Amino acid sequence: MRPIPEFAQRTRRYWLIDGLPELFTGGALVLSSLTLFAARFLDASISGIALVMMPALFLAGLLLGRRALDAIKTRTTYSNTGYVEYTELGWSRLLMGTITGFIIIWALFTSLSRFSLPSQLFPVGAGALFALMMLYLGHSLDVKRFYAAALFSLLVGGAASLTMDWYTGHLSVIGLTGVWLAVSGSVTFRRYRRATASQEEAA
Amino acid sequence: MTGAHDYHVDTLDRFIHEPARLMIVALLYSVERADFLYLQRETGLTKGNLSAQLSKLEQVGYVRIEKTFRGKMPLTVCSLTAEGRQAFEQYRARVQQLMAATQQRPYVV
Repeated sequence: MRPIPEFAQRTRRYWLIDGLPELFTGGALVLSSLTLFAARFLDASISGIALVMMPALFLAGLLLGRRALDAIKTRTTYSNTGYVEYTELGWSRLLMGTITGFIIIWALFTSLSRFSLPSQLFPVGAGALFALMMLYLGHSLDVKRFYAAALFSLLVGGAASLTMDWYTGHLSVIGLTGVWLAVSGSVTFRRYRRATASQEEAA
Repeated sequence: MTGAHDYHVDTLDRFIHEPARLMIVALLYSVERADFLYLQRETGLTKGNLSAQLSKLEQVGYVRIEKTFRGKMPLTVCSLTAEGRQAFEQYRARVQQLMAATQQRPYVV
């Protein structure tokens, strides 16, 4: 029998058991950074529209990605280790969360420019923001691999601040954090498949 | 106001108080729905025991059990009913109340 206080944490952690959410999030981050990088070479009005549309695209990607992820998990995970349906956030909370996230990022960048801090600090700021999110996830769900991702984001942010202009550095942080998450997700997925296959053989 | 009756151990919901059922209800409380395989894996109960406990919880109206499909995969999905959710919240409040009362240590001068 398991200790009851662990149930809520274990249940939330179960969503990450196969590494697929990380793989998807990593892929989305890589795609976002490539899109924003390409926007640099486009006409200013087009790239401006692309930037304004980012929250809507992000939200749509989140919802579509969740559906696709659920379909894949049905084939790979639920049949092996069980199915769980989580309480959905609902439209209003999802929208509020996205808006709040963008406001925080906007406030961070505005305050950096208001205090006339060098734009070179933007990439390390982005890295620190990712690191904080990863640390929170790692701590609240007790998933150690997120601590490594946090350290990686911070190091990439620092390196980008020292060697690149703020825009390229900023996108490098997003893209490379995405690559790290995608690789970490793939490794977790392979481990999960191997573990469940050996369990089936044992049964 | 808390009456003396509230501190009686026999006021606890016996259906939830049984350890195996308490695990099932606590687990289902944290999700919308979960299937039999997940519940078995997480609680560590045998198929027979889990099935028996779920049937008892279904009989008192705390748990809803549905046979469904997800794609081509057959699932036995369990969820807490509104009554079950309320019963667990009341049980938790009552246990907290009882445990708080045990914190005072009597002493004599």
